Amino acid sequence: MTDPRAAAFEATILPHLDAAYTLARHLLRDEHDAQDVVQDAMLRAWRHFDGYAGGSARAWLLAIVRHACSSARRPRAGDDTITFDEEAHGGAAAAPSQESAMDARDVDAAFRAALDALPPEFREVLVLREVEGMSYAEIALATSAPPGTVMSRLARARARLRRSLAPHTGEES
Amino acid sequence: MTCAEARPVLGAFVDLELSATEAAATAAHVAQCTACAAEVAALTAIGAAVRRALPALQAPDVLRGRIQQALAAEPAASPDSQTPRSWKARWWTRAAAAVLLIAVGSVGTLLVTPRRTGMADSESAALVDRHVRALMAQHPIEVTSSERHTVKPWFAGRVDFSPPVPALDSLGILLIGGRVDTVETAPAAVLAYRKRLHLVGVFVRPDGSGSVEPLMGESRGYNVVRWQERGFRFAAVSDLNAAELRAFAEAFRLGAR
Repeated sequence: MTDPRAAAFEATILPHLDAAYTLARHLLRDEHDAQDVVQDAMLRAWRHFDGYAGGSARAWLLAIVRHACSSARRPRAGDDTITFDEEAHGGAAAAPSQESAMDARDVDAAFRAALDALPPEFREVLVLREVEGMSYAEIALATSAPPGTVMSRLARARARLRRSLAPHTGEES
Repeated sequence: MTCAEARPVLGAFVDLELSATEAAATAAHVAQCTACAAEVAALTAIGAAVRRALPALQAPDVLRGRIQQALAAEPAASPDSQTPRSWKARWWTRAAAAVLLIAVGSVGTLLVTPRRTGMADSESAALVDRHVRALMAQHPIEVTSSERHTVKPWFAGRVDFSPPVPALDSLGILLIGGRVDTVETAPAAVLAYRKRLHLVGVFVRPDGSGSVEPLMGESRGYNVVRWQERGFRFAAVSDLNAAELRAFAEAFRLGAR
């Protein structure tokens, strides 16, 4: 005798708790906020579990986590849609020092700084792709963006990181 | 393929997102173009650097516990005003189901009332001791198989009884194998299951002294649940939290029937 809904939730959604926590942690960069957001997202997922129509459960859950993250970042914003202005988030803040004799730690620090300076839309696509190993189609589901947008965000995020990884190499060397 | 054609798809190439034909054409170009090969290497390095800076994390146990408590509290929550009527109807069905579930002893861990961690008694300590020793040994599992029809017969000739080996895959609990151990001088068949990253060792010993309902115990941070039925004395040891281990025991009991 068991509640099939609870059993189904346990089997399909809960296994992605680590992925949810990883995403929230890297988007919010705060342990406590991440825990709160993930707990909240799990509750929302449970309440809306009837709306899950199969497919990637991870993408379905992460879409909820991502929304929870964006509401947490902007608690009083009227909507959850993310607007991103490429100009406003210009790379200037991330511009690494151009010294050529950087040792590994400087490179790491510059890389870290570049990552931190990325807008959340870029960081999330990197986490989903590089850390979670999700396909473009799955990322598109999780971020409610067309696959083409996923691809271009990834490309732009990587281009920025590339500059910080090897500043002295330049574009084409 | 030219560099101008290759450049925009190198990201998708590295991500294994190109069709077989596109991938083959791109690979052929990269093989004979040093600039594009360097770009591929850079993309790969960026991936590795991202994983170093933003590693995959494990949700802390505290969070896991909080979520389980919050989910367990869900059906009992007051019907709030913003809940649509149809949902509210289902709400009550669910609350009723939850009450029943808790009464019967649930298979899912969600709605189980998290119990207080049990006592640090001597039998739990002995079981945890064997469990931990096995984990530290070279071969914690003597027969490795997810197939119960392989694991069960393996015990024949090694112990003088045949332990039940339920399949619990449908609950996300995988059988990974078994071993023979000795607990308090008596031989025990030990079944190894895995739930997510947590290993659960189930010690099975013959004992005809009647049925005993599950009892929680604890030692050195490990949880233990012990029960007796059908001529066996069972004990499951794991670093799963108490509520999840308790639910595991119920699943095992149901599966063994």
